[in-house]
Amino acid sequence: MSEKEHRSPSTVVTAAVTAVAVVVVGVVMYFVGEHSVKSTATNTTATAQTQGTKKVGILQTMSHPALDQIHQGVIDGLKKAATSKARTSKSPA
Amino acid sequence: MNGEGDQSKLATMSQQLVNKKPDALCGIATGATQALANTTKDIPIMLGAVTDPIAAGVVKDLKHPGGNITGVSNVPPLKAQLELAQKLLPKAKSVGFLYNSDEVNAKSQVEHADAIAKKMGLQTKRFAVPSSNEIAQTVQIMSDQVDFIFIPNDNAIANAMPTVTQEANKKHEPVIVAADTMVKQGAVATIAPSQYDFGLKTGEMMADVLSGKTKTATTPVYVFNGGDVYINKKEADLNGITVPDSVMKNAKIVGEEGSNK
Repeated sequence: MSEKEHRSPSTVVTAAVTAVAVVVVGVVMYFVGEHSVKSTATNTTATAQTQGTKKVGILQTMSHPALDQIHQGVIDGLKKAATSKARTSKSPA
Repeated sequence: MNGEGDQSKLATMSQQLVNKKPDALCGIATGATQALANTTKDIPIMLGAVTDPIAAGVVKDLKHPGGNITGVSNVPPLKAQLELAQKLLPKAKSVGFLYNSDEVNAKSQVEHADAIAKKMGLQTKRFAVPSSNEIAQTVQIMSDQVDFIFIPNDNAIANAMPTVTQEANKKHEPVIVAADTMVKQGAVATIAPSQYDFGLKTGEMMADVLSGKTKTATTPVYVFNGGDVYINKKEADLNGITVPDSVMKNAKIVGEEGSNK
C-alpha cells in the first residue's frame, strides 16, 4: 500500500502507450462549519507528444487522507493500464 | 456543514474541468461526483468511490448505469466491521454512530449499520454533528454514553480524525471505523478494502473507458467484497483491548500519523 503523501492539488500524468492519460486535477477543499472555501484550483495540463493522448479531469471533494489515498490509486491505476513509460509530475497550485 | 459555498465551488470547478474538454472525468467522493454529474451528460464520469451512488442520485441502477457514469462504490462492509468490533470488544453493549448530518453517504451507512447492530444485540445511538465545531464535544459525550464509537465513511469526520482520536483517547473510548486511513489516524480497527485499492480500481476502469474497451452505460458499478483487517496496535493497547489471535494473524498492523494536514 502506498504511504506516499499526496498533498499536491494538481497532478499531471503523462503516459505513453494505448490508454494514454493526461490528467487535469481539481481539488476543492472545504471545511465543516466554515463559510470560507479554501480552494486550491487547479487545471494543469500537460501535452504528451505521443499519439492518442487522452485528457482526464479529476475533482476531489476535499483533501483528507482517505480521499487522498483514493486519488493516488486513480493515478496509479491509469498509469498501470498505460504500462510502460508513465510519468507523474506534481505542480503547485 | 454549510453546503452552499462548497457546492457552488465544486460546480464552478466542474465547469472549469469540462471546459478543458477532457476525454473522461473522475469524481472522488460524493459531492465532487454530484457536481460533475450536473455539469455534463456526455463526457464519461468515473465514480472514484461513492458510497451510495443511488442515494446520491448519480446512477439509477448499479448493474445497468445506462448513462455517462459508472465506477467504484466504496460501500463499506458494515456487518463485518461491526462483527470485528464485537470480537475486539466482547463486553460492549452499546455503540454510538458519529457522522455529519449533511452527508447523504454517511446517513445511508448509519441507517444500515444501526439495523445490523440492533440485530447483533447492541444498543445503538446516533450522534449527528452539524459542524466540525461540535466534534470534540460530541466525542466526549459519546465516551460517557456508549461502549464504543463507530464512524462510517464521512468526509467531515475523516477530516477531523486527529480531534476524534485526541478526545477518545482521553477517555479510553474505542473507535471502530469504515476506512483503513482512519485506523492509521488513531482509530482501533476496521475491516475494508484499502482506500488506495478503491482508487486503483477506478483508474483501471477509467483506462478501459478511455481506450474504448468498455462504455460507461454498459459497465456495472464495481462493488468490492470483503477486505483486510487493519489494527492500530498502539490504540488497542491504550484501550486495554486484547486482539484475539484469530483476528491478529490476518491483520495488517498500522501505526499512527500525527496529523492529516
